[in-house]
Amino acid sequence: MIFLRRFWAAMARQISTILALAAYENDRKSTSSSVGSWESLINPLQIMLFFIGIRIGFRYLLSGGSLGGSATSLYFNIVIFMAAGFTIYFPFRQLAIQALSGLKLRSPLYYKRIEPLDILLALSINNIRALLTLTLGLMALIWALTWDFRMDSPGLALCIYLLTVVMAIGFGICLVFLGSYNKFITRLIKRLINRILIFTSGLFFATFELPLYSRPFVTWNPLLHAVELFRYSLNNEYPIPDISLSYLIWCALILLGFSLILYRTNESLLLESVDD
Amino acid sequence: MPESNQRSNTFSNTPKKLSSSFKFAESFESNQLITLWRERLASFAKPRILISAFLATSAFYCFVIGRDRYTSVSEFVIQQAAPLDGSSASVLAGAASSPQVLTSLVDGQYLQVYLESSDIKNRLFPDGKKFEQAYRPRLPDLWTGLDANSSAPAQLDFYRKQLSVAPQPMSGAVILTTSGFTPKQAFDLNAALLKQSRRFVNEVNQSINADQNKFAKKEVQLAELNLKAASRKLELFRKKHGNLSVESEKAATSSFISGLESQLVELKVEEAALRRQYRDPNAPEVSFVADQVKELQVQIRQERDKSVSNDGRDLNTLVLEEAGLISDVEFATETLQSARLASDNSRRESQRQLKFVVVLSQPGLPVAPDQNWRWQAFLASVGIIVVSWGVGGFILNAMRKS
Repeated sequence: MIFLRRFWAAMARQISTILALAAYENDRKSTSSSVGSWESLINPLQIMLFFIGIRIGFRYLLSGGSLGGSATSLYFNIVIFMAAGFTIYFPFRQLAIQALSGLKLRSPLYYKRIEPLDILLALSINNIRALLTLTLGLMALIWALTWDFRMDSPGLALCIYLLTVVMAIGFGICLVFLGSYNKFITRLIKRLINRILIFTSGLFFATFELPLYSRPFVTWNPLLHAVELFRYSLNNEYPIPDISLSYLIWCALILLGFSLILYRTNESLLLESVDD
Repeated sequence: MPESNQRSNTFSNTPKKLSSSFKFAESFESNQLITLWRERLASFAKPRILISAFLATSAFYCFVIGRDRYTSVSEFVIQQAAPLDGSSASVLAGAASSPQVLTSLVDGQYLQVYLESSDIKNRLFPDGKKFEQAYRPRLPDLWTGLDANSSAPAQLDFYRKQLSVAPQPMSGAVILTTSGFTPKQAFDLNAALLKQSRRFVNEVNQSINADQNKFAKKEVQLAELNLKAASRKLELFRKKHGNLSVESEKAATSSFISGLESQLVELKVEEAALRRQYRDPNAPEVSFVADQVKELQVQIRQERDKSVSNDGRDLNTLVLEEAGLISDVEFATETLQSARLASDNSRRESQRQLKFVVVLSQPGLPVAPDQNWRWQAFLASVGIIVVSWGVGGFILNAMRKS
């Protein structure tokens, strides 16, 4: 009982520390930009709209001048389809790259209780809050325009989102230590992440649209599983062949466990900045 | 105590003072009560306590008082008797582009709308009162179920929530899931909907084929009647004009006139020779041949007039009329042949395109309640907290800073 009380107190203190750091980073960020805290919304929104434009443009060209006809349109509005992908993909990308770039926010480290991982988690919270706001705003807009609200498995959606965050933190920390041996590898990984992840994470396509023989080339990516399962949680009729929740859970847990071990042994590496 | 003494003294002084001080004491007490409740409420109205209360209420409803829900699932495919021709449209396309799958998928989508329609609801539950009775709310969960005296749209909405029809673009199969508050409800609804699906495919698709066949047969009958009428007309025409064929009659007349004309030429040659032979043109030998020539000329003119004039046989008009009638018969014959061919093709195609509901997985009687909804609902409550904290916190912070 005493152990539980101490554990709970320690957890509460840790959470308070991370939240305080998040608030500090928010304050700092809001003063460094002319649009204040809204900047963390504007940048991802630009990228998201750009990709949605590309997707709609391709659909328009391929279907010979009409926006319909895609198999995914049976289940989703195109903007909801893309936004669901971004909800998962963007936090992952941001968190992984953030960890790989090293921590820019170092002043809180003056306090003994604060550790680099706390700062990383605080930054992640801020990113996730901004992206969550963006996604919810877009979905609310589409739902308001089409008057077609659908969220078949909200519990699954929450689990998928949390698993993605866990996986992103684990993946980011693992990459930091992988790249610590060679700076070139870090730069290469950082660039490859953007390109490989964006084309294999199912942002632009649905797995069921792919022919059977080409699926193994993308289903290795746990992020694809997260994106597809998130879409499935919005609409349970959405088909998800070769997609598995257990694979996602295993990937998230293994990456997190492995990253925590690496973090324990090489904590200082997180402070080294690797800028392109 | 001294305060009470003072009060009793005051009471004994004047009745006016007594009533005013009583009022003051009453308002003071009520103010104290309000303040006390405010303090109590303020101590409860902390975010942590409110969130805990919300989650506890949600967990209590989801895992304690929420009614059991049972789910029954069946899977079927709408299959054609013979596969369609053609292959996948694109190498980059998935299995969904296979014509067989696409046909089944489209049929599945029609079926989805059909099964969720008000028509089917009324067919399965003709009596609204009985429907309300079967799905009425029960203690302790008074939130779930169909209220008594509910409107028709509310009943239809509730009915739609009890079933899910999901056509699969990969295989073309249709997954039919039904839920109910008892295992029997879920199973019965699934079985009834499966029956309605069969009826839809049999009655709608097969009746289209039957209609096509009927139309083709009707066309054949019509063509036969046309041919009979055209043949009869031709026959009557020939009967009326007393010949087998006007064309051959005309040919015979022409050859007869030609024969007369050649005979006339011969006689004219003979006459010319006799005129050279005899000096007197009125010699009996010459006159005899000349008379023959004249007679023959008259005869030829008469024959000609007889065959083409309106008063005579008028063979030209008859030939034209007969040609029209013959072409009518020929056209009717060809039409009959085409109609027979089309009818035969239609019969063969309708056999080939006949669709059937092939049940891949029969619905089963659920043995245990479905726990999925409990977890989904509870996690949704957690999600609401997380999203409110994330989004609300971000927006409030951003607004404050800007």
